[in-house]
Amino acid sequence: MANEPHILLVDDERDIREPLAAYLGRNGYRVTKADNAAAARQVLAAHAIDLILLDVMMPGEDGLALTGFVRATSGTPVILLTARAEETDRIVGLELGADDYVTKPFSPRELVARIKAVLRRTEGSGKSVHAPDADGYAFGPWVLRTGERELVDAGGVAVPLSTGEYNLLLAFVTHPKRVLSRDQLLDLSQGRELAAFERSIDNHISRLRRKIEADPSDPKLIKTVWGGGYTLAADVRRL
Amino acid sequence: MKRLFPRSLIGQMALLIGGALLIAQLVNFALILNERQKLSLAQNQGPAITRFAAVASDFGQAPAEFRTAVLEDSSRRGARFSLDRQSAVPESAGREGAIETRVAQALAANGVRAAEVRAAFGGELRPDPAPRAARPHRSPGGPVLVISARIGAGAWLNGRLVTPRPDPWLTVRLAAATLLLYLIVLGATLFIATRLARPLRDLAGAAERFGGRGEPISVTPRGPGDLRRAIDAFNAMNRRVVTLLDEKDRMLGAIGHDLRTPLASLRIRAEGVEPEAERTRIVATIEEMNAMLEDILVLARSGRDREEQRAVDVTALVDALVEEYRELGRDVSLDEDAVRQVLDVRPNLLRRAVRNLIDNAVKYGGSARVSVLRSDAALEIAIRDAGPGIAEDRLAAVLEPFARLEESRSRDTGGSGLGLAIARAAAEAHGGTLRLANAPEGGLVATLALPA
Repeated sequence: MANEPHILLVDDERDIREPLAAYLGRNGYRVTKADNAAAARQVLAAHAIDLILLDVMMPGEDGLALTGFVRATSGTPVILLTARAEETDRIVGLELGADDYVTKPFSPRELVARIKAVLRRTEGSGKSVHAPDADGYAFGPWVLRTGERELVDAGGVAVPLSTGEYNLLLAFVTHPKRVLSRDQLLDLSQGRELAAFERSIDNHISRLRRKIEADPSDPKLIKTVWGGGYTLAADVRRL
Repeated sequence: MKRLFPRSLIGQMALLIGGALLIAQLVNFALILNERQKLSLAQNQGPAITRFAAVASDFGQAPAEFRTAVLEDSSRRGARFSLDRQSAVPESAGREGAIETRVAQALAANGVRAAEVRAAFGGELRPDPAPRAARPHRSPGGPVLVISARIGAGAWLNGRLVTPRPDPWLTVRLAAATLLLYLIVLGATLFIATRLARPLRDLAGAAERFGGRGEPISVTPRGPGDLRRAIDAFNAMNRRVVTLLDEKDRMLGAIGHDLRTPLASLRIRAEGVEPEAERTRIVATIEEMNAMLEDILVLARSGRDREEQRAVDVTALVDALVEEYRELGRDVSLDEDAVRQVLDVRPNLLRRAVRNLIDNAVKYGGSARVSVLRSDAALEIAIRDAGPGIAEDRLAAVLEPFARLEESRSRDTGGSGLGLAIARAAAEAHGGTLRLANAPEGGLVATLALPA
């Protein structure tokens, strides 16, 4: 049973901690519980933890502070549990290096799916590769900002993207000048979000081109590679 | 005419005081002028009366043979005296009663007995009988006072005496004094008025800007004492309101957290419920409660959210939302002609408003056709559904919180009843409006207008 991923669950609410630990246990995870940040640090020091589930709102040291500590000391991936849906929490959480977050009340099934996705991304390296490893990516006249999850043009005007568009573009800017097949794009862009791509990658590519290309019929940024897929032709600078 | 009448308290006060003062000053001016003219006349007539009485006295005391000589000798320097059988003043023609009384008194004081005294202004002075009198009079052109006294049977002593011309500058001097007084008082009034007006304007401006967010606006107290007190009271009230709103925010945050935690616990435990149909219903109920909680928190915080305004391509924002609905298989589309429209907005708030409107269109009308158009003064996001629309008399009511068209409280059709209220609050937070209308070709059109 040593292959079971070891999850550290940190939540001050017993009503969440106990049933969630039981549910995760039933779904094949080894769970260690902690009811505050100090207890969590002790567990981290004593055990090899594969993933931390962390409540944001806790008395004393809160989840965001503990995320900062984890990120500074190890590569263990973090999924935040938050009772506040405000966008600011999400932004702050992701900037501090959380790999994902779920808003309470969440579906336990969805949580397990996200745990699997994060573990798959970190597999092998044993390190968090929390997807936006930069505040933003500059390419051509555009900046893709990961905190606000939006595209900003040279004039500072924000161009909002749908979840699918954002994930696809993030896949491109994190793999610039590489030819990405449709399967690779699907895999990369579905890694973080579970929003189902019912429509084809091609459709999303054409939508993205309408938003970022000066002339969508003659794309200069996202180019089609015959037989191979697509590639981002621009230089990408991490911000 | 309406434009000429000032609306402000200060303007009206200045106008009223200025007007009332003008009328009072004019009345005062008229009264003083009248008095001064009378006084001036009396002063001017004094010498003439005294001279007449002196001549009458000399005449009476002189021996009979010298009497003509006395009259001739006195008839110089703007005066003519003569003894006639008739009075030079007709019985009844503009006689000056006041002067007659004074002449009678002067005659009596000089020991002259006069049976009757008449006096009137008028006539010209005949040329001087003596050549030496050809030299110009010292005060030419003044009114001639004719005095007539009956000093014996059928004998009238008639005197024609030039009186000094009334002071021609009297009116001007008086008018100047009145005007000066008027300007001083009016200036003082305007000074007080502006001293009141500036702090009042500051106060009104602060009250208009007050949004209940961030630091309370403080107005510097100035002006008269009672105005300072009003400003101090306003500042104190401002601080209390901000404190109350902050407390409300903290309370809502705590409620949100405290309710979400048991909901989250329920949601996790629900996963173990059998049979599956029961589990599905429990999960749906929990999600409904959560959505309602979310709506209530958003509406309660509207107008006080701390989201910054940013330049955003609103068309792209709407397009991204429409795309998410399409990915979920909903019949939602954006007008093909929609072009880039950049506006300073709070993107998350606007997104929530548009999402609520699309939700409603899909829920009640089965589909949503979205357009983004710029008119002269506004950017209009219109969402049209293919549903039955809403009765005209209910259009305004459905914008109110917790308003529903159905009696049913089922989540499928009822919702939290806050979606439109939130959309309207979001529009108003941007200084815009939310309008609902039944389209002529059927269906409901919700138009979110943001000032461009």
